[in-house]
Order: sequence, then C-alpha cells, then structure tokens
Amino acid sequence: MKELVPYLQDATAVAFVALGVVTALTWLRRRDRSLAFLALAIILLSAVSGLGRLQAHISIMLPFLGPIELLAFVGTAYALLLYRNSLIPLPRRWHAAALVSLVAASVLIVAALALSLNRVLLTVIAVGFVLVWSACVAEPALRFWLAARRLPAVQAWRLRSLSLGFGGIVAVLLFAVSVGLLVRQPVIQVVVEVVVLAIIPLLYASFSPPAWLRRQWRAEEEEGLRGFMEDLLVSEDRDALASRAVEWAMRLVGGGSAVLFDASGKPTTSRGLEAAQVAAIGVDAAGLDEGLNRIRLDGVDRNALSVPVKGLTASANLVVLAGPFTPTFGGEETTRMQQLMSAFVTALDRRQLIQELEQSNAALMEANKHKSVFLANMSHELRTPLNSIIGFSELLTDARDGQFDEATRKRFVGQIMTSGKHLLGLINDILDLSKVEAGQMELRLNVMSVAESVDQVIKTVEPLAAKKSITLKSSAADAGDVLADPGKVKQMLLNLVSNAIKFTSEGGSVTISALRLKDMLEISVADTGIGIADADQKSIFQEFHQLDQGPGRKHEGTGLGLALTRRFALLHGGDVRVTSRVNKGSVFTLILPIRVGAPPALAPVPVAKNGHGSGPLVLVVEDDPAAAELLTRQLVAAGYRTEVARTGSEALARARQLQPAAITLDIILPEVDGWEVITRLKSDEETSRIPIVVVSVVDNPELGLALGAIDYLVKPIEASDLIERLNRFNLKRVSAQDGIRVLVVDDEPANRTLLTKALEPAGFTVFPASGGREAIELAKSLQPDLVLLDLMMPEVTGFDVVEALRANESTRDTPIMVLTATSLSEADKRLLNGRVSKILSRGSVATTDIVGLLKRVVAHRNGLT
Amino acid sequence: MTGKGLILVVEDNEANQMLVRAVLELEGYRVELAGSADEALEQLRDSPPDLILMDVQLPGEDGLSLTRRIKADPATCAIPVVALTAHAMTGDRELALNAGCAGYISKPIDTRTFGLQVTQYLVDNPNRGRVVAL
Repeated sequence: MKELVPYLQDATAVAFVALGVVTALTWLRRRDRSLAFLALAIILLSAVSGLGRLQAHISIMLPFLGPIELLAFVGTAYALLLYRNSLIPLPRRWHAAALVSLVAASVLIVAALALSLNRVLLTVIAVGFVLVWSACVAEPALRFWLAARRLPAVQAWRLRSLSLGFGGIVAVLLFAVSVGLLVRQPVIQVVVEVVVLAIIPLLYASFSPPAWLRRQWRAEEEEGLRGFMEDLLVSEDRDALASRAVEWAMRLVGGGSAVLFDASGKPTTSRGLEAAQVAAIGVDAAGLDEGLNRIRLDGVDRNALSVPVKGLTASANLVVLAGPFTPTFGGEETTRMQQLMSAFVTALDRRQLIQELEQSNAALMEANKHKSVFLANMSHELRTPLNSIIGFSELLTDARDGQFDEATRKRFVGQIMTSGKHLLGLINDILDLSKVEAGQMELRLNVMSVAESVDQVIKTVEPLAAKKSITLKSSAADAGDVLADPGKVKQMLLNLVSNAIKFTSEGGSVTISALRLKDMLEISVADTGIGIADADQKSIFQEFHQLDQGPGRKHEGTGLGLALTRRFALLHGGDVRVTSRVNKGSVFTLILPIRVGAPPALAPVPVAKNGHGSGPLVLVVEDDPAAAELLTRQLVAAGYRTEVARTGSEALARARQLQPAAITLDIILPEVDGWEVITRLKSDEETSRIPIVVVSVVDNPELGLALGAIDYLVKPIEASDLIERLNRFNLKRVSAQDGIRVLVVDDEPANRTLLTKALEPAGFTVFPASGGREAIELAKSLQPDLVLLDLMMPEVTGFDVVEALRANESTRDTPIMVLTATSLSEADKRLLNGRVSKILSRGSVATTDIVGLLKRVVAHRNGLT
Repeated sequence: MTGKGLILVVEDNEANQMLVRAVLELEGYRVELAGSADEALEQLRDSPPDLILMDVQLPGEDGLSLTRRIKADPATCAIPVVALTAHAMTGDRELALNAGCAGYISKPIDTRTFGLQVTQYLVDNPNRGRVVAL
C-alpha cells in the first residue's frame, strides 16, 4: 500500500497538469471572457499540484518555488471568488474582507517560514492560512450549489459540478490538515489521492462540459418536455404555445434568455430580456447565422444560438442567449433546438390544417344538406304539375263518350297546358343553373333599351299583380340604353318583380325604377312585403337556398331564382344587392355596367409566321379549300401551327400521326362524315384525349361564303316570340301582294302544324316541307322570303339543305332560320354524348371567338397533361 | 247517408283540387274543398266528412300540423286523414303517419286506382259507423 502512494501522487499531478493545459487551450480557443476567472482558478490549481510534485522528484531545491506555489494557491482562491463575483455579485465589504484575509494569511505564513518559528506556532499559522483559503473557496462553491436549486437542469448540473469540484478540494484539504498531517497512514493517503483524481473531471466538466454530458444533463428536461408536446396537440392558444416553446428551448440548451422573432422580424415573445434588449437583438437578428453567434448586449459579448423556424403556416427565428450559468453552446444544442422548434411548428401547422379541414368539411356538409333539401323540393315541385298533367290526361283518355261536357274538357286541357308550362319553366331554371355552374352560359350582348325591358316585364306580371291588388309602378323612361343580354336582363327583372309580388300581401305596391350613374345602371325593385331579416340577407342568393324550407313552407319556388339572377348579373360584370326590413319591405337592386368591359386578355401565344413555328399544333379538318384557308390564317395569326386534312379518313390518319393539341372539325365531309370522325377519334386511345372543336360552318363574309343562319330558336316555341323575331328582320318580300312567304321545313307533322298555326294568323304565308329533299326543291321553285329549318332530319339533314341552298344561285341569299330541339350546342352535345369540347352555331359567333375558344381548349388541355 | 260518403280535400293547388274532385266524383263520392287549414277547420265544423285527403304543403299552417290538431280534437279525431302529397322522398311517408295520418298517397296520383285507394281507407277505418259525440 505504501509503495502505491507515490504513483498515485504522480498520477494526480499529471492529471492536474493535463487539466490545466486543456483548460488553457480551450479558453484560448474560445476567448470567452465570462469564463476567464474560472479558467484561471483551474489553471492555478493545477499549477500548484504540478509544482508540488515536481519538487518531490528533483533533488535540488528550486529557488522561489515555494513562494510561486503559494501565490498560485492563493490566486486560485481569489480567481474563484472573482468568478463568483461575476456571476453572483459579492458585496463589496465581503470582497475586501476576503482579499485582506488572504493577503494577511499569506504574509503571515511567508514570514513564519522565513523566521523559522517554532513548530507549534508554524502549525497554528499554517492551519489559519488553510482555513482562510478554504473559506474563500468554499463560499463560492456553496453559493453555486444553492443557486443551482432554482435553475433548470442543464444550468443546474453545470453549477453543481463546479460546486462539487472546488468543494471537494476544500474538503480534501481540511481532511488532510486535520487527519493526514497527524497520522501519516498510507491508506488515508491513497483515499485522498483517489478522491482528488475523481474531482479533476468535475472541474473540467464545470468549465467545458462535453456534448455527451450536456445531453445527460438535458435528459431531465426532456421528461418534462413530453407534457408540452402533448399540450401542443390539443391546445388552441398559439401565443401561449409559442411562449412555452421558447421557454422549453431555453431550458433544453441551458440558455439564460431567449426571444422569438416572426417572419417580418418583429419580436413575438421573449424570456429573461428587457424591451430595450429585445430591440437591440432585433436589430442584428436578421444577420445572424444559423447556430452559434456572438451578440453584443449592454456592452458585453454574449454567446447566442439562432435557429430559423419554418412551417406551412408560420415561420420565425428563435434566438437563445447564453446566461451566466450556461454551459457551452455547441452543434448539439443547435440541433436539439431545431428539432424542438420544428416539432412545435409542425404541431401548429397540423392544428391549422385540421381547422381548415373542419371548416371546409362543415361547408361541404352544409352544401350537401342544401342539395338534399333542393332535391326534395325539386321532386315536390316537379310532381305537383305532373300530377295534373298525368291525372287530367288519364281522365280524358279513359272518359266514355259524353262523360265530360265540352266546357269541362276545355278546363281539363287548360290545366294540362298551364301545368306543362310551369314544368317547362322549372326545367329551364335547372338547365340555366347547371349551365352557369359549368361555365357554359354565354351572354348575347346587344345594345338594349332599359325602359323597353322594364315595360315588357311589367306587362308580363300585370295579371299576377292585379290578382293580389298590388299596385305596379315604374320609372325607367330616362335610363337609356345598356350593352347587355336582353333575354337575361328580362329574366332577372322578371324574377325580382315576381318575387316582390309573391312576398307582398294584398293591396301593397311594387315599384321598379332605373337610375343611370356614370358607369353603372341601377334597376331597383322595391316592395312593401314581408321583408328579409338581416341574418338571412346573404343566404338568399345561395343556390338551393330557401328561407322557409320543408313541408309547410309558405311560398312555392325552386330556390333557384335569386341565385340565377345574381349569377347572370355577375356574368355581366354587375351584381344584385338587397336592403330590407322585416315587415316593411325589400329593395333588390340590379346593377349592370353600362358597357360590359372587354373580356380579360388571354395569355399571349408565341407567334409563328407560317405553319412551322413553335405554337401548339391545330389540325384543321375542312374540305372546302377557301374555308380551310381562312381558318388556317386566323389560327396562324394567333400563334398556332396548323395542318389541314381534307377528308374524314385523312383527318383520322393525321390525328394519330401528328397528335395535335386540338382539332377543328367540319361536320360535312366527303367519305367519312364529321360525326363518324369524332366517334372514331374518341374510341381510339391514341387520339381520344385530343379536344375537338366543331366548326360546322364558318362565318366568313370575306370570302363570300357566309352560310350562316340569321338566328335560331329553341323549342318549344312561343308563337308570339317567333312572330316578334321574324318582324325584327324586316324581311324583303318577293311579291308585294302576298304576305311574307315562309318555307317551314320539319320532319315532324306536329311541329309543321304548330308553326303554320302560329304564323298564318300573323299574316305569313306558310309552305310546309316534310324533309330536306322536298325543302330544297320547294326553295328553288317558290323562292320564299325565309326558310324555317329543322336541323335534325333523317336522310337529307338541315345541314345538307343549308349547303344546297347556298350552292344554288337563286337561293343563295334566302335567309335561313334554324330550329333545334334545344339550343344547337346542347342538342349536338347530347347527340355526341359529351365527346365534343364545344360546338359553334353559325352566324351567332364571330371568327375571333373561334380563336379564343381554341386558346381556351388548348390551355385547358395543357393544364391537364 | 247518400252516395258513398263525403270527402274533404285540403289542397291549395287549383289544378289538383279540380283533378281530385273530378276523380272522386266519378267514383260517386261527394267532395268538399278547402284551400288552407283555416278553411278546412271551418268545413269540419259545418259538415264533418267521412275522410280527409290532406295536402302537406299549404299556405299558413301546414297539413301535418293541421292533422295533429284534428287528431288531438275529440270531435274530429275519428275522421281518417290520408296524406296526399308531392313530398315523396324517403321519410316523408313516416312523417305523415307519425302526424296521425291513416295513409299516404303520393302525387302524381293514378286516377285509375285512386278511387279504390280512397275507398280502402274508408273501409279500413275502425271508427266507421261509430257514433261520435259532438
């Protein structure tokens, strides 16, 4: 045991020297002023140990070694005191007292050695010196230990290791003085050396704890952090969470203070900093590197970690500053802070997204509920007229001869007609809405007189108002003209006015007035009806929304009228507004721009001079060379490349080979006709995705090939509407004696009869033709003033008739009016089962529209692939 | 009692009033019409019918609410009420039966079987022939 003692003493000395060297090097590398006194204390302590052992190994007595060692020993205590003072200021009196005691004790012991005082006295002085030294070292150690109790784990453990290190030295020293010097037992010496060896790592850890040790210290905080992470998932308060996140980041890395800046650099929350300090950090915050930085605050350089926080819904920058008790900041701390903050911001994002999902889900459920209610209402609304249509027809069909007298029969038939018309109106509303919803509602803009429209609407609703003794007033005479779709304007006004009548009780009044402003026209419909509560005023414009729902609602209707009116107004670039007071009445105001602005400019397409540029390729399928030439020119001018196919079979082959961005297709083609081409293109996987624009006949007056019809009507036809339209065209009469001669071409006898019945009383002379071939013959021989033409006929179709009439000198200028089952595009679309992108009706669409349409079709396709 | 009985048709749509009346009269019933709940109650006081055909959607008080009132009133609760309505979605029949209707006929009606259906509800009525204290 005895032989072991010198080895242990050597080991201790070597360890101390190593501690001193590493501490010195570490400090020189970092030059952290706040750690200077601690570094000095450790270096001096290791110097004492090293020098003391050095003396034992060399035979000659080194000069001044004793005083140097003594100075280093005293310096250790004083440096530690100064370090304590820098962290926890020491009262001045105590500082002075400590300094004086240390100096006095040192002077006494030097004097005692020099004067070779007797052993007892020397011992007394030495013990006094050790006690003074121990007091100066023990006080900071104790103070640090006490301070650690109030600090977060990382800072606390660092202080504790500091406290244990120096406290251990004091304990060993006092133990040695009280026991070791008196009883030179090897066992005790060994124990002392081992304890000292154990103290050395503590001292190093207090000065510069390694990353693994910091991680260990942090483990205690990580436990508590779990609770915060749970709160993150459930708590709603973003600000409170942000504040706690900053707190936890600080605790994890052992920082002394922290501040969180938002994306714009504004501080959102801070800890342990005054406003002025936050502002000072804010100035530098944008220029901080990610990770470790030095920030000068109140004239002192402080270590700081800066971590950017990036999320979907929030981004920020977190800065944590080292405090007095902070152990080293390193990459380890930066990483952990990043992890924490990204978990934090992910949780915020998640919460935000869940909220958005919940909102959109609620909106969807609401919309779905509206649709269900709408469906139920629609079912009810359809069944009501169907009940009388089917019921009365059954009664009439089943009736025995003479069972019903003539008057009764007439009443029954009248009911069937009224209900049928009501049903048609309903279906038109639904179709209009679906068109608007699909973005297919197109406006037919015309300069129209507002006063005239208002008059027409008033004429229509007069009987309705008279039935309820409601006074109708209007003042629209000075409103002038507006560029709008006359049909839609009338529909909107009719809707507003009939609503007004519906919700106004007997004896009330409804007033329509038009006001012309600078750019806008306001047509208001005011009533003295039941009014609408403020809360309901927004929802009345929603589709499928009716204020009184379910069985027992007081007012009939589909819940589409106001929604449609508003959609139509928006299409015009206008709007519909409502002001209302319950039981006083409502004012609905239709706002229309006086001149509808130009459609928004389409994205420019790169221009190619000829057909070989870089624009999208359009395959033009057209057998007429002139028409093909015209289309090609228009397309090239708009930046497209073009290829022409002249027959159906050529079109099919080239479409496969070229894979164009779009195809324009003429319906009348040699060999394989257009319908067949579409069918084959759509059934071939290689070409099925190419959009097709049907250009049945191009309106091209430049080439004298204007085959366009002058108008078209939609069945079922209102006789008055038909006459009004015909009169508008101011048709040229061939012979002055006769009325206007109209050739009616329709394969259905019922339709021919209907048209004849409608036209003859109005002074027209009608010539019916039951098919295309007959029509062509009659047109040539009779030279009618007008041809009313059904497009969908077996064998020789309306298209054929148009072509034949245009090709013949004598009939080239005869105006043709096309009749279709519904609007042309809708009918053809149904025929094609939705396989055509768009169908243009002749005469009603200008050539520029074709180009615009192609752009849309191509852009849409590009957006998809 | 002359003919097959008196039926009160509560219905606000004029065309449907006319249709139901025509069909029922062909079947030999006498028919009274009411266009609203108030009119119906008046009719009930003046000439109690053997059966009520009740439209659900009426101006003012709706048909189901009126049915509940009729069923709650001891003077009228014995008269069978049959819902005659264009509300023909899932659940509408249950709504009508829960309100106290003895039956439910959806529109559009079949004029060829309508009379039979009505007769059936009259025959099935357990209160038929019972003396009702007024």
